[in-house]
Amino acid sequence: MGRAERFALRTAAGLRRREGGGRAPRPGADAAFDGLRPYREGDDPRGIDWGLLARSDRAFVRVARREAGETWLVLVDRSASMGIGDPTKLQAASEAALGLAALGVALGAEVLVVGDDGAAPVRCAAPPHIAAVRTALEGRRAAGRAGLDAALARREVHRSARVFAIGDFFGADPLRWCALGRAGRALVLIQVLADFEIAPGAEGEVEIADPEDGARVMLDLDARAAGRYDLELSHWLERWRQSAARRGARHDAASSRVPFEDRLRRLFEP
Amino acid sequence: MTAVVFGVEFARPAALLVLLVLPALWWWGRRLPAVKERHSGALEIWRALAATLNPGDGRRGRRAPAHLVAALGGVLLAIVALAAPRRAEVAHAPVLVVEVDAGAALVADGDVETGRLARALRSVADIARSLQPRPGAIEWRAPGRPTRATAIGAAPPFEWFRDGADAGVFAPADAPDRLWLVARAPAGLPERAGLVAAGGAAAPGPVAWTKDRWIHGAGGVWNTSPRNEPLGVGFADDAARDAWTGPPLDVVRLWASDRGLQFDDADAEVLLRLAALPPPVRAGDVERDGWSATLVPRDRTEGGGERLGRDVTARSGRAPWLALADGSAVVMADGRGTLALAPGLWSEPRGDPAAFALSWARLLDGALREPDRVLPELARGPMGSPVAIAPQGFGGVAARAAGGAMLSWPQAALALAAAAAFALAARWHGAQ
Repeated sequence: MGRAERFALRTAAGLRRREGGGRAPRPGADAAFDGLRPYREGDDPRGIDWGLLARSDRAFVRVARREAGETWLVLVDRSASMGIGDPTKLQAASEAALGLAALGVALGAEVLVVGDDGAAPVRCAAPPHIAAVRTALEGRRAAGRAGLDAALARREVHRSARVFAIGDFFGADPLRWCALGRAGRALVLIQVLADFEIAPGAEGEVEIADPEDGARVMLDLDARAAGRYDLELSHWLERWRQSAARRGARHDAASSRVPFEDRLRRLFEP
Repeated sequence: MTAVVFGVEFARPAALLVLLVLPALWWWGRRLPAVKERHSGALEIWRALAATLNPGDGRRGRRAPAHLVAALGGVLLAIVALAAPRRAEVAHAPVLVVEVDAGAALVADGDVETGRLARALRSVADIARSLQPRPGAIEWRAPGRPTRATAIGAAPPFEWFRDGADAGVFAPADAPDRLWLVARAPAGLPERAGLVAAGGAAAPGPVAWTKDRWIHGAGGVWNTSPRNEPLGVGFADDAARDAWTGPPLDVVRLWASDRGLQFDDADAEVLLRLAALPPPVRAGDVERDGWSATLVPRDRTEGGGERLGRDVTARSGRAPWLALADGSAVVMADGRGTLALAPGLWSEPRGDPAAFALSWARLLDGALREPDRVLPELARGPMGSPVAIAPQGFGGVAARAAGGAMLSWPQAALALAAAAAFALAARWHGAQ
């Protein structure tokens, strides 16, 4: 059992416990009530509809909509800029995507993992499918300039109840992305940044290159320049955060060094 | 083959051709990433910052990376070291100093192919080659002669031996960079210097001459032979013909006749050359050896006479044999077969007439040079066994001489290693 599966089991169990307590369990939207089914051995007792049990003397459990065929779409940016960092941003994004796939399966959802290259999505609806997702993610290399924007036009984006977009979002428009968040569809934006992109040090003369188009900038990176960059980056990230908040989406930005378990756990907290 | 560039001599100048590789290395090195290259997807932010922080286009020209400069500097030093640079004056400094006893003994047999000097020079060349001196020269030194430098195997200054009358005292230094060149090995061999003694049998020939015979002697055996070759007294130039008049000329003629010398004969080997001094400024008396006379200036000398007079004075470095009260030279001898006289009208000598003749005869006998074929008996005698001994410890001298090199191999290797380490450190730092 890999990290993703272990993360999924623990997180799913926690979510079930919280949902039993009547709290909003998943990021982006409340768990919508979808119906009842007879109680089976092993079901969480907290899902039992006690009122119905009292009236009918039969045990039923509440079934949430997501457990009745909800589709999660996980978009992974694999443009050239995702090849930066240690570990690379693509590595961190792939781990998060695999974790989401495992978590979705654990929660009974169908997960579609999609890249920005127009290829068919990798479907994951049962534990055995996780290996296929892992294989597909491991075979990916950061290249090209398309970015996640290219995935916005995919059919699956508009048919999914939950959309998880994982990338650096440099060059992307916050308003356009956050417009995906609306009633009935949860949007989660997971920004992965390299250490140098988050907190560059005063390194003196440096040449900064964009891996996507090869453009370069030479400058003397002293403490003043690093401070100015930090300010500009904070403004940029704040625009994303505010745009997401206005549309009920969740947003998280962190270094590629942060384990995906920590990041996803934060996102699924109430 | 060596080459001198800006006062620096390169023993292996062909190695400098490798410098042509440096531009290619520079071009290749410039294609490598800059020392500190960073990748970022946030280039738009950086570009805006660069425009603010670095007024201009925010894209300054790339500086030469430090590691590239260091690496190329190391390669440059290594190439220069390979070319073996030396300060030119050090490179031309002689490696082996040959101290020559330039007396007549080495050329007494007159055989330039197989004689004493030829054998000795071959030994010198053999020793020089065995010592493997630096490309350059052998330095020839002899008492009273200017130092001469030649390459190994090149002809030494032969004129030293033909012109041996002025040879000074041979007192060579006993040092490991010295090689003594003599005809006969000395009783005490040098401790550190090398020694080449020509050795060989006696060299028969005249050791003296008389009015009509040659006197031969070598190794204690003496004999004579008729002297058919004319020897004589001649004038240096027309100025000398004008200067030599009156009683001095008369006494020279009488003396020459007594000695069996031809006077002013173009066919004779001139043993005494009569020259002219500058004329005295005013009249005066001269006095010597019991006679006296009055000399009245006669300004009939030509410029050549004056020049010759100065020449004689300068060459001899001697005091005049006869001078006026004001110090003006009247008669001077240079000791090498030239006698100069100031032009003037001579009164008849006063005092004992014989005193005048004897006084001048002693002067003329002293001024006379030896005929070319006459050599001292010591030079004609047997010279013993040939000796050829290389200097002891010459390698140490060569090592000290090599110390004159501007850049040694260890220094170059150190520079290259330091450059490589610096380049790696710079690359590592830039990759962080």
